[in-house]
Amino acid sequence: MSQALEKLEQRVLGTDVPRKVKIATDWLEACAGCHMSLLDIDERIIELLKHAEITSSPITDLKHPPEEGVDVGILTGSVGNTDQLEIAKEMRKRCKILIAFGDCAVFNPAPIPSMRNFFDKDDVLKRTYVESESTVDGEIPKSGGLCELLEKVVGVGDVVKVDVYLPGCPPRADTIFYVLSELVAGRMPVLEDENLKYD
Amino acid sequence: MAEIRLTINGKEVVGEKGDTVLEVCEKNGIYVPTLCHHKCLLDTGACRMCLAEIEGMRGYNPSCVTKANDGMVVRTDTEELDRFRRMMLELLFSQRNHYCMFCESSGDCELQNLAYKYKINYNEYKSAFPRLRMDSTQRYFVYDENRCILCQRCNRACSEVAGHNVLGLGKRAIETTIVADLNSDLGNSTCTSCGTCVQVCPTGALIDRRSAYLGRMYQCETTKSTCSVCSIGCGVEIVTRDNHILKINGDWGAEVNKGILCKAGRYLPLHEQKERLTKPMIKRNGAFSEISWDEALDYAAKKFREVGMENVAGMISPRATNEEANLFAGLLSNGKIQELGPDTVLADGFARGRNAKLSDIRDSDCILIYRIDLDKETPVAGSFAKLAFYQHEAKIILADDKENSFGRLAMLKLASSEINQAKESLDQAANPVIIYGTSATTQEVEKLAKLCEKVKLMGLLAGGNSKGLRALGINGKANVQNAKAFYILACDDDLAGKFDRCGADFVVLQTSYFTTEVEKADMVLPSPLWSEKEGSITNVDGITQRVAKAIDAPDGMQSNEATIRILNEKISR
Amino acid sequence: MAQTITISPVTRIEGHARVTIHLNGDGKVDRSYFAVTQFRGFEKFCEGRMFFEMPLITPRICGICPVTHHLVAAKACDEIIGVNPPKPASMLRELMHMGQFVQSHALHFFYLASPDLLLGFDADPAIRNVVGVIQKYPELAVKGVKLRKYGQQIIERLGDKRVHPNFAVPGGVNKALSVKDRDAILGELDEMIEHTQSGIQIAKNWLEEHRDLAGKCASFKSGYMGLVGKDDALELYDGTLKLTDRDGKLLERFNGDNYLDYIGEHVENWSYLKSTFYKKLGYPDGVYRVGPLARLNVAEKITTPMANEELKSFKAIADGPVEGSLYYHYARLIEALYGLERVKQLLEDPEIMSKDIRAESQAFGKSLSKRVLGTSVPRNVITGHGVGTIEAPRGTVFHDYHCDETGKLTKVNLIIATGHNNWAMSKSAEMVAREFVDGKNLKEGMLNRVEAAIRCYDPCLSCSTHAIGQMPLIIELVDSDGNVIDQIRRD
Repeated sequence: MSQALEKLEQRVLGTDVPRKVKIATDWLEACAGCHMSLLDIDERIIELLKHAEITSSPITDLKHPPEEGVDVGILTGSVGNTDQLEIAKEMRKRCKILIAFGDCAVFNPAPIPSMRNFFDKDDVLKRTYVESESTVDGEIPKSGGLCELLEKVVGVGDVVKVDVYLPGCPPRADTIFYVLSELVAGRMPVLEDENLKYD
Repeated sequence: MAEIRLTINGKEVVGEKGDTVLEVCEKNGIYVPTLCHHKCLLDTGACRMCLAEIEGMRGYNPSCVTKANDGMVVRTDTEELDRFRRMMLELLFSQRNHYCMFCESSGDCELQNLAYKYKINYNEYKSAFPRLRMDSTQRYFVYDENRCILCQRCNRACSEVAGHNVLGLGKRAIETTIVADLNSDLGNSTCTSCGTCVQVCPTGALIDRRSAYLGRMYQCETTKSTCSVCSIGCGVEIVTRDNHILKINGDWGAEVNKGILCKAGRYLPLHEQKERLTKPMIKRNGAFSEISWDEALDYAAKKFREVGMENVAGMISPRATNEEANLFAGLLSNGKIQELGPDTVLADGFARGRNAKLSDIRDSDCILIYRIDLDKETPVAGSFAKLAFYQHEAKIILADDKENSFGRLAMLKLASSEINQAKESLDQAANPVIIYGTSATTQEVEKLAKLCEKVKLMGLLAGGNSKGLRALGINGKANVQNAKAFYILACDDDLAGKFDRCGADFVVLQTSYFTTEVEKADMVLPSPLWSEKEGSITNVDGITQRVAKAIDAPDGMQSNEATIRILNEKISR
Repeated sequence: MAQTITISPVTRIEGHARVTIHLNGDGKVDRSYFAVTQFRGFEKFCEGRMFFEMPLITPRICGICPVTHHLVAAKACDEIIGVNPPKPASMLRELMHMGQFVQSHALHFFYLASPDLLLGFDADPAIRNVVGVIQKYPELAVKGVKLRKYGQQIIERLGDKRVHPNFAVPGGVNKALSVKDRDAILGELDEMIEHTQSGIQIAKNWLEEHRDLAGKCASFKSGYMGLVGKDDALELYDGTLKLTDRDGKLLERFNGDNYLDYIGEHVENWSYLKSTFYKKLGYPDGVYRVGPLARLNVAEKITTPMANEELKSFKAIADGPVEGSLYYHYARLIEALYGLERVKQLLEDPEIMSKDIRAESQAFGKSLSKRVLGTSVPRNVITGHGVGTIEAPRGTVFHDYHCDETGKLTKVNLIIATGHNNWAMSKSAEMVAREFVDGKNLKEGMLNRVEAAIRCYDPCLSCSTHAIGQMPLIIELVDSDGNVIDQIRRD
């Protein structure tokens, strides 16, 4: 973790021309609440964009983090299917500091997507697509192209190495602004008091 | 008490012989994290959060169960201890399924607060997602195994504090869980719904149904008051938010009950289904219609004057405060006032200085319970008797002709006519106590008093302020049969079967609820609830305690004291 | 030689989706499919939890409209305990709901849709996003940010948090409105109305300039459904459902409690998102649209003055229902305007300050009484069943809970807004693909237009599949042997 931070520091502080910190975000098994909380920094986004550049993200039209890599990668949501596994790996490869953002990604406390871990994966699919009261002539969708669900939902840290764990459901906007500001300034954020919440 | 000196975290501190290391720390303002520790429970060392390094002792020792010795050198603040505490918390989170984001306790959870304090933002221990049960069979609360950290505060409280001994541990190792009785669901067990377990639970494992999600403690106000349901007078803390009562907790600091409550005090006041009366109403042509306070009290005064005040009788609920009763007795100074209710007469006068106090029950080693089912009528007195039984093996003798909950604890079960068989046990005991209630006749109580010379008698009056009423000269029964008019101050008491108009011409009923019982009256005046008024009540021990206003009564209500005063003025005019 | 183009993921929408376009031998579009690849399983994993936990569990279906689920879950719970919340409680819930409409519609218009409208469908993907809008039109962007912030702050004042608040409980709400909060909300209201008017102007001007496109692009006949109030006024919180046919004629009016009699869900093999349809007409004849366009089509009036004027303009666009998908953007802003005016109406009614915020009902009993619509239920019995209906920003939402006599959930059925629009999104994507996608000369902007058609619906795919999935976006031209002939990557 400190190695990654050192590299970030060098790039931000050790150069003559200040360079914007590149950020990439993505959502996995998520509800989008973490991204909404990110947008809840309101007008501060304009301040942030003076020092940071948002490359790929679900709300921009770039779908993958740039091949040359970004400084900070943000992943929200748990890992619940094979597509998400690939995205997590790609983000890890293409960023220096990876933030597991929100309870679903951090996986502690237990996040909502993990509630399907108490049930058999097929029972869950059957309830929605066959048994539900309003479903008519249901069947479990299975065609090629639809990714496979993992047997159990896991956290981001279970599939790739994570540098910063930011719990919260979602993390509060003030905390997000603090974390990003610290990273942009080349420091590791310290999560405590009002900035450490599990709900 | 002998003083001892210790060095804790490099500081010299003083404690008392017999203290645990934790107690010495607490007395000296040294913070030690705890989870299973509770000031009202015997410590058990289950959670290991309070581990301390004690020079000369191997490893780390839980300070809550380690006796402090003079000269001990203790450290509670080392980095390694903090590392262990973090590990313990992470293990606790990973062992079961803690979903903070929708938990009713989030924000008030002791496990969560400790995790925040130790800055835990990640957990390297993986959860196995065990499938655990949720017991939703209990009417007032839910037990969710997913959130249980097995601190055992609940089963300790159930036995050590409330005496009911319903909860215990079942299974073993990783499957250990809290069970009721011999592994019954809570709703189908001997659980009395006293709610003590819910009050001590540090996490969201035991959840009060009614107050779920209604507010965090920092968003609420707490008002100390006294329960008015029975004559024990338990100290309570009423938790409110935006003029609603969220829950009623036992006041740990209250001398009378030390935090124990019962279903009637903790839950029933909040589960009231009766319709609330908020305006004075008069019966005209067989139906009730609203009138103004002035109209109502003018009319009542007129009717009372018509029949003559000497012919007006009063009935007053033992939920009325001393202040209300005082004014009531002043209004009806003819002496024709009795306590409201069917079973209000307590035979007494035979104790000859051997009146028991409530604490005598707890300290007794032989208790004769005579024709009263404590679990139904005064459950907290039942708790006291159970504590005597479980904690120092008090002999329970039950003399009752009906089914009685104490039957299963009684060493000796007698019919009411067989009390002589109890004499030997009572004589041999050091602190024998006889408990009886309003069902016992004068002759019966006389016999009881003569049974043994040193036995103390506890006559349990029926209502919260029955004792206070007695002090004002209001007894269980008075000569009210031939009254021409009745003034009934019922407050928020239940009215079913408690009064009859006995052929009177005019009946005024001052009550909180609009039920079918009001049909017996000619005029009804709204009364505030117990939680909406200020006053005092006196318990069976003669202790006068405060009833405090926790919420505002609905608009348009006035206090009972004001009503009685104004009525008095109008009568006197 | 048939070919397939895959747009994966669709961006600037909430959730994960993919469009697969099948070309015929001439390089023209044959068919297209809009597939959602998210799945979580709320309908199963909520079983075993207590019913009163649903207002806190279900918001995690969606972080953009958590208030929708929070409120509709509370409504379903009201039915489970057999009470009607007192009027101040309903007003407060509606106040939070309006806050949500304002923030969600502002989010969609200013953050997600405006890049296409202001920067152009064919603009460079690297700047065709909210950051690009902030850089090119900073004043406008700030208006959008402030509008969203305003809505979020209403939610936060009432429920302690902006995302996943805690406010509605079975029987009412847990907090009364303070004078300070009311005054703060009222204080900024006029400014917010101005900002919304700016947005409306932009939408109207753009639609006027691109009138032809708006009339043709993803414009097709369908049924429409939405909640309506008295005299068919636009209604977002309570009311009854009105369903019209493809020509705008009334098909049904029904209470949400009886949704199963009218609404069915159809499963496609290649998508995790089910499609709803009107049972009496079957699938796909019985498909209908929901959301702002549909709501304004089924409504006859709006009870607030400024929004009502805009409704008249809206209705003047066509004889009969407005069918072009691009008009969703205009309809959305009209609803945002209504939301703000409704906030004012609610706050100026003194009853909203009352502390009578909960109908106390102690629901627990050994007997289970089956809930029958229209009959009163004894207050001390858990009825065992509750249905909640509400309009989310994106369309109608149903939460249907069954529980046992102790209150533990046994069955949960959720039908969520974007599910009703599934067929329509697929159809829209197909129509635009046919119009603009030329397999022989594939350009990135063409594919963005296909996505833009989907974006009109402001789909909330996490919501509607109450599931989770992920979709990156690659467009590949693939021949029937699977060889990649051409490729556009959006990286």
